[in-house]
Amino acid sequence: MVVAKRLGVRWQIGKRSLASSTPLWSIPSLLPRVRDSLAALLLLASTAPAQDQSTYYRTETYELPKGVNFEASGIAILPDGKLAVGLRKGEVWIAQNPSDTAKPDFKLFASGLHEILGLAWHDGALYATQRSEVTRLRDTDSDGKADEYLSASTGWGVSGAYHEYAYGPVFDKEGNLYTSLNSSMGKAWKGAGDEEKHPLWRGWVVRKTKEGKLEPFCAGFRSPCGIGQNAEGDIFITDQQGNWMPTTPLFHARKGAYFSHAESIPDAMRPESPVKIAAKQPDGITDAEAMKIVQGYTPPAVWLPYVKMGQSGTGIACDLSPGKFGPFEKQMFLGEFVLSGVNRVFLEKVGGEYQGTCFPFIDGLQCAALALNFLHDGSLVVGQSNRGWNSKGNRPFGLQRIVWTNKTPLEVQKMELLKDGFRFTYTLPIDKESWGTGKLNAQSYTYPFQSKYGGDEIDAKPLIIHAIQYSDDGRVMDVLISNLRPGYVHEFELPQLKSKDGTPLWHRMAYYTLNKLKAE
Amino acid sequence: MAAKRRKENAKMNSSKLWTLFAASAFFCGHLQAHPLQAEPVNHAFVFNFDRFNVPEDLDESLINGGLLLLAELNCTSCHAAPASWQQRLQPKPGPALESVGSRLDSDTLWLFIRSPQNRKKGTQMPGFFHGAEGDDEKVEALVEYLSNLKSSPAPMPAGDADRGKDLYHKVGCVACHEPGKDVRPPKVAADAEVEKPGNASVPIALADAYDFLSLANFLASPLHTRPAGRMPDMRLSAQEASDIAAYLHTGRVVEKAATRAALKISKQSFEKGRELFQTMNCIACHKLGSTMPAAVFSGAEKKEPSAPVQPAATKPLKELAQGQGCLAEKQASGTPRFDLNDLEKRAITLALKMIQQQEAPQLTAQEKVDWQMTRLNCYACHDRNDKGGAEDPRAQYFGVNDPGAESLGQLAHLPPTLDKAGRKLTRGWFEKVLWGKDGSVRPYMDIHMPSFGREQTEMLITWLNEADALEKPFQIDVSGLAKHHRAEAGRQLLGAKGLACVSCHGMKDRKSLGPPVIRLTHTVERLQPEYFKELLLNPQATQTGTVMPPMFIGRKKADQEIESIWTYLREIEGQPLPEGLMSSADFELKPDAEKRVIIFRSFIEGVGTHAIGVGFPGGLNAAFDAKTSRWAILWKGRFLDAMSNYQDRSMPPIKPLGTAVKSMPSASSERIFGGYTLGKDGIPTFRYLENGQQIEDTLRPVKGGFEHIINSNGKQTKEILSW
Repeated sequence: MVVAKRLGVRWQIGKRSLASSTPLWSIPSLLPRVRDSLAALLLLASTAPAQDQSTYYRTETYELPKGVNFEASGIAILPDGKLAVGLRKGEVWIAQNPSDTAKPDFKLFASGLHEILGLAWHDGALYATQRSEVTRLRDTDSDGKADEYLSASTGWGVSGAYHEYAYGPVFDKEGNLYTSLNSSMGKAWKGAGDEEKHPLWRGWVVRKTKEGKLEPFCAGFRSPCGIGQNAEGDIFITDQQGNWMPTTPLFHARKGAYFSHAESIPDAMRPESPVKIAAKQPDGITDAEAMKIVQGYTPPAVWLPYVKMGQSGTGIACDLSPGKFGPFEKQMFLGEFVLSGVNRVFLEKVGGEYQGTCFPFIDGLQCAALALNFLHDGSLVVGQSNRGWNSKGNRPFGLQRIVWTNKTPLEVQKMELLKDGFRFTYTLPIDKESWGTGKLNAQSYTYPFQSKYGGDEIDAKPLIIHAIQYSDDGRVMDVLISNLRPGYVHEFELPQLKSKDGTPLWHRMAYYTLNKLKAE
Repeated sequence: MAAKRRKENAKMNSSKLWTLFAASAFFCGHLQAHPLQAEPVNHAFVFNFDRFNVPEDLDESLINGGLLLLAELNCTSCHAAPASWQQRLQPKPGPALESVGSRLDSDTLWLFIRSPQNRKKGTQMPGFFHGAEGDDEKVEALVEYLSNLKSSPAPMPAGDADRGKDLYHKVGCVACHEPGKDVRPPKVAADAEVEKPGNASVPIALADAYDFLSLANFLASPLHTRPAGRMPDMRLSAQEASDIAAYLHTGRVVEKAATRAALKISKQSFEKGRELFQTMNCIACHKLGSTMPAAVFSGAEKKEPSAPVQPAATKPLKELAQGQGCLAEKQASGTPRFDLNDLEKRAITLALKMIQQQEAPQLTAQEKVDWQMTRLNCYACHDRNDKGGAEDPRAQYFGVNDPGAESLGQLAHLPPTLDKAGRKLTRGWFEKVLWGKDGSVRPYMDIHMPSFGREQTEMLITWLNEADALEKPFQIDVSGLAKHHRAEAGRQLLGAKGLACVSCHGMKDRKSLGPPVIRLTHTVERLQPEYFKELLLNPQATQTGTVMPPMFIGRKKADQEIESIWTYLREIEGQPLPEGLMSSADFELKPDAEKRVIIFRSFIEGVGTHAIGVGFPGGLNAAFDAKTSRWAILWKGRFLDAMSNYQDRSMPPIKPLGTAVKSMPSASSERIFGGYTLGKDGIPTFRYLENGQQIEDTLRPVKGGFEHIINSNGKQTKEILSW
């Protein structure tokens, strides 16, 4: 049974990570769910205390309007700092005091839309993405309620199949509007007319140009649930495990790129497609091989290993505050649906392409994280709904925010590639003595490139570490490795380090996706 | 001098009075049919001793009965048990007497203290006065002391005896107490004779002597004055308690102790009574509160109590001689007299012998459960491993309040069997059931599950868990993380088109489609997941007598399906109900109080995937197709069901709920949709480009239909749409 096997892997890893105090696997949150399993015994046997994440980041739960299924699926911040939340049931609510979770004062702004899965503020208006349209919402008479629902982007195929979600929007510097479109899954509806047979641009990111033209932009997505931008304004997409997606990827979306999900190939054959690929692609090779032989294939900037880092990546938010959210300025935070948490990603450009590291971050949210955005006060708001899929946090919906307590955790702040290894930069100076007899476990593996659902870590090999060097101030640690492999995830489990002021390392796992080696 | 004379008088008359005394108890009942008129029990009554022991019993089986008597009659309060026996023979706290003076008048106290077995036949309270010199004064002193222990009972509503009579018989009082002879159980044919209980009933002969308020308060929270829980808290409302109190007071005439007046004993001091209470070791059973009620020190008696007087030393169980004390033919004054019958004496003698000869045997978890259930008399209502359960002549009074439940037979009428209970319920739910709140999941059942108090029942949970644990528990993954752990999948299985669990099980505020079997709302809090799986896989083998069909036998994916159902039940809050329990009314969009126009985008039949429904107040509806930029359908009456958008994962297309659906002609030209704006009245104006021209298109309800208004290039056209 595949599930049992996966869970088996999960618990094993869980046990290991638990010893590393990774809060994703903390005892209290998991134990009641694994009664009587061997895993529970293993967990019990471990004596390593889980660190309380609230020391560094506090989770606050919003008081929500009574009687409303507040399935928060889109979050936008207005120029005055107010918080706009789109709900799957098709409403937009605005919190007048978003920093006060007990009394946020939510007021209904718009209603009647068809499954909002994204909300953005741009140039004087709110934009809500619904199934068949991005709608520009404005309140022209200032009564607090939208009275203008104008079509800002539409024209992609909608067949009525249940999984044809539309996410976004994001805007680039030129003002083009981007929407990510789920590939079509499930049964199409006769009432959809011609689109019952072939809904256009499913599994694509499309953009509406400022001139009002809908253009296909890039392809090969399965369920591109998160669409967001980094500090430079580049567009990133999270996708979800399934066929052609062995685990959650973070893709850098640009014009003409193709990201592996074969169902979008037919539309790439259309003349207006900027994606130039072959009509067929190999099935059952490794991702590392695909990078070499599949025409036009763009690998993800980061893989988030399955179960270890979650099971379903969602919303993306970039910390643009000057240090209000802790020592992770300009890094990206990704929602995690099944494990109901938030992961952290550091990116760098190597050979002109983004690649980088993902780290565990926040665990134990009340429900599946779906949409993320930062308030002006620097806290991270997480919109939640688990309608349609299971999540560890078992509330069906809700809204929480994550607030930095102003205490700096000891974390790997960034992890960069060197020519012959990796450079770990810590948030606090490391006490080298705390390494003690601890071991640095490290391995690399790749994933299958296949039409089969999901995919195991394959071709795993231990990394051969021949030196570890510290900077004088203890902030930087270079790990020199003799067997780096492009096309592989390089996974590290650090020992239980401490900073010079005694702060223990909060998360010990780090996963660097190495697509390109460094020339220098 | 006067006092002395009275005392002599009394002494002269005393022997005669003692013989007369016995008769007085027979006058205390007033209506032939009333429960207080139960046939008297003439020995210290321990329900389960009488129930489970007969004179024909062999010694080895009677020993347990003897141990039960030693424990339940509180022998070990005075006679210390050997260490190994202590846990098993732990005495129970006697009634708290802090405010006994408010509950009973001094004559009743006098009658009861002087001869408990006369005033209250079958009582477990021993008598200490056997007519010796000075007994009358002692009784009087104790009465003086206890009468002054007062507090004001809380106010209670007025009671209704008829309602009380009904309640008394249906909430479960008759599981232990006597049914009224004038009450016919619901199922007994009009001409049939009502069967009488075979076992004797727990006497309630003091109920009518109680002050009404005190009785109502006692019934509302008996554990307050009787912490032992042998009279459990029936979880009555204040009104119900008052009603039953009124019923028990039917025809009440407060008995005067004529004998007491005749004795003319001089007034004894409070202080003497207090001392006697200690020296006679009343405090071994009746703990007084740490502080004396203020009323105690009123008037002449207002002085600090002197230092406590040590009670007379008593021998430990191990040193008691056979056939002495309460077991003797003739008892000396000052020794407790229980009026034990021959079987009880034989049982106690056997038990004593065992205790004196050997260490207490180690009990298995099941034996511990059985012991505590016997002591608390859980068996009066529940059976477990083929022991106990309400006997039919008592059970016949327990009914249902929902006619739909009749078809379930005794499953609906009678408290559930406790077989496997220790692996069935979670600790949290046991706590709710045994002493907490909101543990009842069978609202159709009249009988109440009482609270016995935490002290009396908490240990049962651990013992039950241990006794009922399976060597190899069923494996169920409740992590909620496996691929098939989907609430929606579970919802489908529960629904009418799945396994149709909703045929019998309701959920939340919804009744099932059939009989009102336990609602599944709290399943996850209530049941251990392993038991849940065990039950679902094979209901009959797991829960004998259940009417649950074996839905999962032969289903290949039973494991996954059961886990999906668990996932749904775990996330039930905020999830849509399973099909069958839900009505479209749950999500039907209706005009609100302000009668605003409702706009709703979805997949709408007759329109397409880009449909925008508009519901106008007054029952006119239309839907605009944003793909072709035209009004696609009009209809009358009810608007739309929003469930697809609000709750469904699969987002199925929805149908207009109303009638007279009219399809509109398709557009003749290419149009580009632009959106809509809302007027002050909430009416939307749709915008689109047609041949490069900006068009504004509005429907307004008018008499007879819609007015269709089109603005284009500064020109306006209007037409009336009626159908």
